[in-house]
Amino acid sequence: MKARWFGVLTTMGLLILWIAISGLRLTPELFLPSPARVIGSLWINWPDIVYDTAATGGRALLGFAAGSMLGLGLGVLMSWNRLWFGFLDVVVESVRPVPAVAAIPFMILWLGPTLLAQLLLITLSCGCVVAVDVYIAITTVNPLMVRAAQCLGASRSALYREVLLPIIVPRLSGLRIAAALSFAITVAAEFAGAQWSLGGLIMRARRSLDTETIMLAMLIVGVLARATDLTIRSILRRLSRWAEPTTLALYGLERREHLS
Amino acid sequence: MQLRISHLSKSFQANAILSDVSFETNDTEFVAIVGPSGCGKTTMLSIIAGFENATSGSVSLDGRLLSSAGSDRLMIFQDSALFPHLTTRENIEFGLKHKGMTSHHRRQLACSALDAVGLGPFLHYFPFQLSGGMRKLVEIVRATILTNPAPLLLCDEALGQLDALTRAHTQDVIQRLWMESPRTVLWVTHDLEEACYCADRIIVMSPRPGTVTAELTIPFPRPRDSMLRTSVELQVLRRRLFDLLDAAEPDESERRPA
Ligand SMILES: Nc1ncnc2c1ncn2[C@@H]1O[C@H](COP(=O)(O)OP(=O)(O)OP(=O)(O)O)[C@@H](O)[C@H]1O
Ligand SMILES: [Mg+2]
Repeated sequence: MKARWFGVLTTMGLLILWIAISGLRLTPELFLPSPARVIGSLWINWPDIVYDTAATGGRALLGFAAGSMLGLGLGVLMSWNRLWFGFLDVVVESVRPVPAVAAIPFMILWLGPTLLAQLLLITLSCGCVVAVDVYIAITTVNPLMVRAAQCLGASRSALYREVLLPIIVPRLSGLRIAAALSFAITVAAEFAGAQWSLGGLIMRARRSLDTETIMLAMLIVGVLARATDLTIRSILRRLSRWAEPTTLALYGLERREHLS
Repeated sequence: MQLRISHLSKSFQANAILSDVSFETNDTEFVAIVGPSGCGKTTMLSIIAGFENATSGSVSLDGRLLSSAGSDRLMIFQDSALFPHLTTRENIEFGLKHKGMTSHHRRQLACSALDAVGLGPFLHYFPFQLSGGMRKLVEIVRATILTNPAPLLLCDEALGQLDALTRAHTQDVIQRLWMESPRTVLWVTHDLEEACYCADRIIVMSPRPGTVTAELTIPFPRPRDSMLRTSVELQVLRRRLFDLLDAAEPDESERRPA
């Protein structure tokens, strides 16, 4: 309870600091626009911004959703048997370390600056993160669970559907990493060719040194990403009502009691 | 079900854990297995269940050679193996579901089985909300609720962590369940009184590498009740069992790690 109030204090402190620095003209207006000017920019541009926000949010969430599905499928296949692992591990582990942003030129070369190119990029990078997470979660489930399910007559697919997949839900913190990643890649991909989006808005504003609009776009992306993270967490928590509090704390779904 | 173990041996790397174990069980026989810690009891049950391979020897059930795990054998492990994401009732229904029983029918069966062992009020609890003793009881019900055909039951120190009273109570529940739907049971235990009280026959194993050193037939008629626990006859049997185990134990000076 108290910790939450400290959080509010920190936020207010930062806000006051921002107002003070920009209000006292400690830096040029251009370098740090005041909150009032940022709100002013929203006031002027709101019809565009509503559209841009929807476009960016939609792109990131669609890519994230598709990537999670892909990752879930890959993770399950990799854990299914040695053969699939042999095939897929190499692919996943060689795609994953390459920053997706570095592949943007190729994506544009192949598919043009299209929505398809952007979604493909987001999907692939989220997919690899989720695949590794799902694979590790499945293979570290207590082996007694697998043995008990076998003894009780569950088929291979029933074992996955009814035992392994439900049990790994609290451990899927990779979903949260993937969601954050999807926003990062979305904005980068938008820089390179999506006029009507928050990324595009930043590019447009950059040309006219309209820093308050850039700041505004940054804030909106931040809010979107944060809201997505909170939503994922609350869904995971809802699906993990069976888990002990210590398990939830272990995977960051519940606050652990502090030592003092 | 007739289980036949012949010349079963198992080593991990160079360590012999089981050496030339042979025994048989009759249909619907309750066989207890006792032996010193580390003699390979868990290993033996895992091999019978099909989770591990023997180095040599064979296991057959009703004449069929066994190699991999199957739903004709059911192991209750030393550690809890309840599904953490399923409630008590759903855990118990799991095996019935995969036998193809309809949801209405299996729900009825699960509820009455739970009521019969006094777990009725804990139907909707998740495993982490139950006590250790209750968890074991749920696991036992989850196994014994499967009948027609009842799988071979392999129990690895199922009651080892319970207090004396709960353990005695659970033994009575097990006897009742077993008499209601008889099945072949291999019951590994450290508790000699439990072995004498529950089993039709006791197999005594030597220290590692484990092998069968003696067999005791328990003559007491069923149903057995708690009067038997303190009876002279049972205590005499228990003493014999103790001596058999003690005789097989090497002197302190001869003991060295495997
Ligand atoms: N995977 C393994 N690798 C190497 N050694 C093992 C392995 N599993 C068991 N052992 C060894 O096999 C021996 C027998 O183990 P096991 O668990 O079967 O004993 P146990 O009779 O069940 O003992 P307890 O009564 O204490 O449960 C032990 O010495 C153990 O160290
Ligand atoms: Mg053991």
